[in-house]
Amino acid sequence: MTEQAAGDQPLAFVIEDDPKQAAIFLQALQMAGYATELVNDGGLALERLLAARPSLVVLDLQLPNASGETILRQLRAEPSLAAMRVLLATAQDRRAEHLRALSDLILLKPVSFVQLRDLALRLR
Amino acid sequence: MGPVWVGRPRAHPPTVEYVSVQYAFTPYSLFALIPMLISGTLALYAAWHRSVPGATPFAVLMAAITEWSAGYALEILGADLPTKVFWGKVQYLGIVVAPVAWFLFAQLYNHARQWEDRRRLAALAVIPAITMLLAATTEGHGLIWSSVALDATAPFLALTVGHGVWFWIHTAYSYVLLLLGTLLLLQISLRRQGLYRLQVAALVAGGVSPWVGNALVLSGLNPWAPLDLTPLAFTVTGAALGMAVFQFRLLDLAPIARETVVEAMADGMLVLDAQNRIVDINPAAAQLLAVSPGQAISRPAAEVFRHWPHLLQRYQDVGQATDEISLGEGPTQRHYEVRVSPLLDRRQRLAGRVLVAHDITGRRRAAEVQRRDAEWMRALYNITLDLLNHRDIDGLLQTIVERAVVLLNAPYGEIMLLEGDEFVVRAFTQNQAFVRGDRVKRGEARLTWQAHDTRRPVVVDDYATWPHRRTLYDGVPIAAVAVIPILSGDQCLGVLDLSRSEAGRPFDPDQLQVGELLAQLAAVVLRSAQLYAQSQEANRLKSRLLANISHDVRTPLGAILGNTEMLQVGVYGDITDQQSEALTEIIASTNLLLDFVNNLIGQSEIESGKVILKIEPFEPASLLEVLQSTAKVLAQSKGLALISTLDAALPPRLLGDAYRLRQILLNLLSNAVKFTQHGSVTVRLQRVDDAHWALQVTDTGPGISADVQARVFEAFWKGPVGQSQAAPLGSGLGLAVVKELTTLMGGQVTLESTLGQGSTFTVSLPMAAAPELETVR
Repeated sequence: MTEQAAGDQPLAFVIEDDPKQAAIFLQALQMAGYATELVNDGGLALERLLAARPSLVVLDLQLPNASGETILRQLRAEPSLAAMRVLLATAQDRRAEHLRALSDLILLKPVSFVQLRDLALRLR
Repeated sequence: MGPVWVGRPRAHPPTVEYVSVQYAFTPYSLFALIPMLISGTLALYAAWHRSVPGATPFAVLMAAITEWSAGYALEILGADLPTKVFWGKVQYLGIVVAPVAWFLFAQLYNHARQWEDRRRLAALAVIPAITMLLAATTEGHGLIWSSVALDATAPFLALTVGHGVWFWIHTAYSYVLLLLGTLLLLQISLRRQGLYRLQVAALVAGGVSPWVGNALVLSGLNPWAPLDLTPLAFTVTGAALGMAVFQFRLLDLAPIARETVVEAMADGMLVLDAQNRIVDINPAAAQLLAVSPGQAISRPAAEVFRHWPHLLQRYQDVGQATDEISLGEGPTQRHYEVRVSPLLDRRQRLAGRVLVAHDITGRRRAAEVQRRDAEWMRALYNITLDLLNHRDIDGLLQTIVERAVVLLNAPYGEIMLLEGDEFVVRAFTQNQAFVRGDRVKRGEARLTWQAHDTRRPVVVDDYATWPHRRTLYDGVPIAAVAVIPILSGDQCLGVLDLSRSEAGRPFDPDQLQVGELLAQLAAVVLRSAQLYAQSQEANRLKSRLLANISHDVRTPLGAILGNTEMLQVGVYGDITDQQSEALTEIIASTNLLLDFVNNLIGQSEIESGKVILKIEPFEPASLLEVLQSTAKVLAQSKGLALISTLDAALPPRLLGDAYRLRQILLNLLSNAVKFTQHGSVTVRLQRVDDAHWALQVTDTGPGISADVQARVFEAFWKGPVGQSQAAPLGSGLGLAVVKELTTLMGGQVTLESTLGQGSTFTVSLPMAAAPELETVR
């Protein structure tokens, strides 16, 4: 579900199942000038990503049906998505460490709204 | 009957006869001259070898016979009565000394009595001395010779004498000594074996022949009368003794030494000839083989050793060997060191073998005790080590069973523990795997329950015939059984069960004591294992609790943080400056709470030893990502500049735990931002030297006084009392976590600070560059 979609706006995906957290991410990205789309089910993520090909993705690690790690590996194996920036959002957890090379940045939860907004702005 | 003195009236002065001494040769003198030469030679030979025990009385004996024979030769050669009478008297020196010397020789040969015992010697010499004196003066009293006459009818001119009273006393005395000496030698001959028998036989032959000669003369059966056969008999004596001396090496191989050493020695000695027949055996060896020496002598070894065929086989063809053997079983078992040495004849051919068995039972037992002590120490060491390593309870019980089996020399072992109202097997030796999963209720396994009820070890010496034995054990031949309760205070936790399969080897009190010590150890193990399990469980609960707190606290904190930030940046409309300040305060406090929660988890992980470093290649630059975190938000909210520098001399990739390094850097940053009100916080990643690199955080804060510096790394320390009001809220754990992690990485954290001029925390770490080419999936 696309909240906002203007012609020249870059597209950002938020893949997160917690609606409160998702709302904050979406708000930060929108403030940074992105059109946003939320996916709250891991199983649907790859299909949507392939269809919409966003320039930025905020990906949660713990998701229903398919984990963030699975999605990350799948999309990194997809040449058509090579230019896509992926920010991994996770609670302070070692599990994210080995994914550092696959992601562009690891955000430790709780993620600062201001920090994400500034970061997204820089990545435009 | 008065003395009849034929020839010269006693009034005549004796000097006249001495002048008129005359001699005439007769071949009969050879009967005395030859014995004289032989015994003289032997006397000289023996005197030459007088250092050998027994040589001296032998030399004296031979000298006496020489003197006697010489006197007799001169008597025969004498041509008139006075000459003959004179030499007849002279002979008495040898005549009286010879029986005494013979007796002493035999006695010394037999018992090694002190030949030098002067009082004994004096007592023996009384009668001979009187005889000597009377012989010299016999003309005056006739006590030795009642008459003297020349017998011209004989083949040679012989002196015939009538004997006086004392002569018979002297003769009786001499015969007694001769008899005693001969009996002594006979006695030795019967007792001795092998090599020495011939020697003694020669000696006896020597001792008997004077008897024969003397008996012939006195009984009137002498075929050559009036020739005195006694000196002739002594020729035979001399020859026989000569045999003993030369052929059987009487004086060289001192039988006395052999007697005292070999017969009396505790070591068993056995001599076998080339045909493996027993030639000699000493009492110790005879006792060892349970035979009498008389029975064993000259029998084949195969017969005597029939109870020990393995020994016979072992030494059948061994010329020279040293070995250790054990005879008997159980507590009466004895151990011997057996030495086999070859006996070679003059041509270096194997003539036989000597076997010497030295009893080393004492040495073996001492070694056994020592071995058991060492084994005991090893058991203690292993069990303690296992305890310290928190091995699981079954592993520990297994260790105890395995050690008990060795220590008590009982190959079947198991430990059963009381669970509810039944005993359950928890550990056992592999040779009785059938006990796996065995459970016994009351009424079954009587011994186990008896040990449980009495709290005392229970022993059965012959389990095989014990009426209450369990069929479970029918598969192995269990004989002696010991069941030792495992006691904790008054409570019986279980039993240690040990068995042997050989019959007739019951458990002794020493072994039971060791068993009880092991059972005590098992009790300690069980108690501490239970305590450890409890503490582990508590730790798990604590970790889970902390994880839950972390999740449950951080989720709402995230919502507070995000929404407050959104409010502040005006997502929900414009706000006043006052409102913005209040929101800033909320954000800062929320971040501190987050910090607290994170560090609480970190500290708990370190305390429980759960932190395991994961060493991997990482880019030092990636550590600076933490500058994007909450620390940055805090710094910005306080108007602090956040500066970072990366030393170009650092390798692009290092080996280390990047996750924990970030944790260190984040904590140092949080700490710096927290305490600094104006200025900047600088992060530097530097190369220190070829082996070290450092992470450095410098602030422009108030600084830390010298007396406080040492305490800042303590957990939950929040600054000196009184200052805590001014200090911002924090967990008091951040720097403690930094120190713990740094130490874990083999590094050091140092603090340089001057009051009013800020602080610099430096974490220096060993440097290991990662390989340049690293394939990343």
